[in-house]
Amino acid sequence: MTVAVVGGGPAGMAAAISAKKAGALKVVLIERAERLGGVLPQCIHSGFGLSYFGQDLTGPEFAELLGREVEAIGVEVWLQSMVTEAYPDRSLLISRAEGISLLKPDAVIFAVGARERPRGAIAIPGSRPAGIYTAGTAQYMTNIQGYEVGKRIFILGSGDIGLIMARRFTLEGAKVEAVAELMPFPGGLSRNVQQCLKDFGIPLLLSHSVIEVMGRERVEAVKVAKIENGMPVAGTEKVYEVDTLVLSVGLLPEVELLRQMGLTILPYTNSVTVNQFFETEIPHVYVVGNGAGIWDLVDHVVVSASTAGAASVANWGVERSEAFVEPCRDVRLVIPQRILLGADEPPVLWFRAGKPLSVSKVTLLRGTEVLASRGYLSLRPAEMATFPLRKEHYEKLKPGDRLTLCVSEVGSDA
Amino acid sequence: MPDCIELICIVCPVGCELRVTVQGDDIVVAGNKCPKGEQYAVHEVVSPVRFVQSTVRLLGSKTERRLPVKTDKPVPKDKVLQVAAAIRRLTCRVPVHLGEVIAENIEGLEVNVVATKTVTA
Amino acid sequence: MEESRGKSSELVSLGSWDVVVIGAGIVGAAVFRELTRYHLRVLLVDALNDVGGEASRATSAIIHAGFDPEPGTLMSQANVDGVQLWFRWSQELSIDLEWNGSLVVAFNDEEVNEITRLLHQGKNVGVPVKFLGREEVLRREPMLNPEIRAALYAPVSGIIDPFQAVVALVGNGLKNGGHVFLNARVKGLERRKDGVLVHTEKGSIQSKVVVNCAGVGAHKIMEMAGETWFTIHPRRGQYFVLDKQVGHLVRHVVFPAPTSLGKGTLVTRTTHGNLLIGPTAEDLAEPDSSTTAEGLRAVLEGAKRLVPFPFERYAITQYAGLRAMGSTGDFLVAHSKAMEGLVNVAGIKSPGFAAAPALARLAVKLVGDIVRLEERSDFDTRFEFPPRMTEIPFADREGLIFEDPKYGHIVCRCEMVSEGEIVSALRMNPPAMDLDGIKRRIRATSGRCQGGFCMPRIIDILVRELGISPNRITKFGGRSFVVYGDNRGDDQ
Repeated sequence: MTVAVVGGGPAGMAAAISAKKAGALKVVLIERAERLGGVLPQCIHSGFGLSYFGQDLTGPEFAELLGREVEAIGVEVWLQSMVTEAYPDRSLLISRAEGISLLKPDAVIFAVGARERPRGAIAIPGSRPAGIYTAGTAQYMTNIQGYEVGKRIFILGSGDIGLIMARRFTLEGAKVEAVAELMPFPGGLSRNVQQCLKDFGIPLLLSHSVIEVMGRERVEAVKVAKIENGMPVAGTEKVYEVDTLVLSVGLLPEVELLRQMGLTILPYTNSVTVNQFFETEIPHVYVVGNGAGIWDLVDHVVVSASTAGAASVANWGVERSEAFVEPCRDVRLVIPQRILLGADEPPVLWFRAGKPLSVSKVTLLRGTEVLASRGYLSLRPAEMATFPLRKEHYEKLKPGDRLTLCVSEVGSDA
Repeated sequence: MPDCIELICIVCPVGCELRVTVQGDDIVVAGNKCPKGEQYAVHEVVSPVRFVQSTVRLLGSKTERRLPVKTDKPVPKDKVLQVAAAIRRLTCRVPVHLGEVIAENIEGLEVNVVATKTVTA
Repeated sequence: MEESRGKSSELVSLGSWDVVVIGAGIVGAAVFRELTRYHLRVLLVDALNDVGGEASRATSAIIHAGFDPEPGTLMSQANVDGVQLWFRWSQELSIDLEWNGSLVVAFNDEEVNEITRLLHQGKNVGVPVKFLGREEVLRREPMLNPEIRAALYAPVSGIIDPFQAVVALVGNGLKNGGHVFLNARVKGLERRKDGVLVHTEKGSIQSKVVVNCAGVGAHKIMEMAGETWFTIHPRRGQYFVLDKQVGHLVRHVVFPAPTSLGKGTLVTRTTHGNLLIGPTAEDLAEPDSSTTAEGLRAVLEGAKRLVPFPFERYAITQYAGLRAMGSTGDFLVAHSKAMEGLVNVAGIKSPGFAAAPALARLAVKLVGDIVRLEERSDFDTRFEFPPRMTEIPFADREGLIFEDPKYGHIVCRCEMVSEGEIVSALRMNPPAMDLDGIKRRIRATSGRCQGGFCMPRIIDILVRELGISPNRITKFGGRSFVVYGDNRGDDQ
């Protein structure tokens, strides 16, 4: 059988490797960029691979190690190849320098990643000069293209890429004036706040945002203010004279091809529903990595994508009964949203808290009935957490069950 | 009154919140979920160090203009910017392999700068 | 002289011309194109790095039906005539123009009276209009606010690609022997015995006739000629552009009933398939095309009154444009009262896009009062854009890729633009010279990620194709530099 993997980032490489390992005769890995790895080659910092490779790696190293496996196992790689259209029968129209091809694999795994929310998505008012970049774009320009993006920089949003870029710009000799975060807590991992901002004395302005961009041709300044209830607080405005504004205000899964296939998009993951094998509502069509919902750790992405790669080759038969899971209260998202019943192994639920929580209890409910629960020392919105279902709980699930995953801080009302 | 220092562990993505109490020669670490955290906290109090990652100019490749690099050992935290500036002055040429030493003993710190990517053409 | 013919560059020898057109917006572009029908040496001058870089790129891009302006005014006549001309022009010049019709909706008695007045006004000036009851309106536009009472329907109105329109008109003029001179802001006019001397930042140009199409700056050109009776103030309009996934929220251009401040905040699809909401109408003392928090809020409120929908969730970009509000309230197309040889086309606000072809014809007539208009037998009415991969059959795509593999390499994934198309935008005439020029010609960087993926790659294409160093690449000319150059000092 043939498996096509769309997207050659960590999720796509892992899925391709595991599909090949599981016995797929032919695996085609289709990547639109000039190289495999997705964003890893531009993430030259360390912090990758601790759980998957058991060592602290930089992005390029992680990509290279995965790439070696891709090559060794005999995955067919198409670079600078773009899937321009996808059909519900799994046909893919692919544009590349060799021409246009139509591929109809037995299974398709979409590992298309995410895009960054641009300035327009959050409607920052002001002028429209050059010098406004999303953090990932600035990272590509700095690390891959070798361009000097800015000299004096303001960063809006404390997502991990924004924090990493604050340090990166500093190491490049630029001055990062401050990082502003709309929420009262940082968007990225705590250790990145420490090693990327605190280490260099870069201020983190919580509950702050950029309220105006100034400058006609190139950014000349940004006006920043404290934000309460979505509105700037009068008297807190401060103008930072900078030549560059970098935005790290969130990622959105790339779902255009999935939408084309007729799949519906969930508002809280901004992607389609998947089961524990990352299979969509169309059989033999899978979505992994940031395309399925935003992950924080590449190690998790690789593990979850491997599940899909192996599953794409397995034959599940026609009998497909499912239970459904939804997030509730302070759980912001849960993956999967559908649980295929009767699989050999019980599933793992991945979830993300909506706000920082200390000691908490997470429960899986069927109506008011508690099916399973687990305690957590702390939960943070920046981190994807796991809720492994035990076999005895999995076996209690019935076809059509509607489940909710809830969290409550211990001490507060359950 | 012992000094209490609050730190965020940077060893892994968990980001434990550490409380370090220094009483003379005694350093007590709390809040760590693994032994690496204790090690980190002690280091951080006594002589903080950091790995440095950056890029160097790469010559002779058709596809890559920059080679990503890192220090093979951590450098003193107060030397990070100095090391970063020194790395910016380096140049290397293809072929280069992952782990290959690009510069030895950078800034006399007994730390090497190594490639984190293989580029052969 | 085939080589120098139709060249769009900064190297046009200044020399002497029959007609100089100041301002390469939609009106100047139309005047330029119409003048090249005749045996004339025509030069189009603009202050910016590209044509259509100011007001014409920040409008609602609507071809208004023509029922709205006061009958008997030039604005009314030019609008009605302009619509007819756009039928032919859009076909001749391959400009995307969709006649999707417009609805002016009324929520209360007062507004019903207003659209009734417009109905009769439309009939007076010969514009097809119809009154639609609530049920019919909601049948046509199910997403509209159910509280509406009625609407005025004008079938012969539509949406246009405003960037294409300017580029195609200029391109057609270039093809017919006209010339373009960019980055040359006009600083002064001087009457000479045999014409007018136009002083620009890049040197002086002698011409028999000068046509002033300088948009929000047209009164400044008039001032240079010693003419102060006509003034212009900028009126700012702010807009949201929304993701294509909600592009089909409405079929028609949907307006509220007009007020003294203009046609109000509209909701429309664009020819590119996005949804567009706006504009505001803010009178300013000085030109300032920044968006503001209050303005953007007002746009959302206005649009939500027409279509209750969470527009902000689908926002991909915002912009503001300036309208040239003339002191007479009407369009001005006339010989200068102060300087012989100067023709003013000024105060062109909405419905300027719709009226542009008619205004151009009028301006040409006035030029004919000064120089002899002798039609060329070889005038080529047609203009074609380089091929777009998404708009041609599969077999033709294969053919293009076979000839040039760059057409198989998709650079902008949101709008599906190949490297070959980007290169073609840099090689067409008038060529793109910067990122915004590419965006306006072939849409790369204008999609939902706003260039996050493709912009860095386009920088490299620009470096290669234009043969300049990275730190000279701009967003829109001038000093709008995109990067400071090489971060390891290769540029030094």
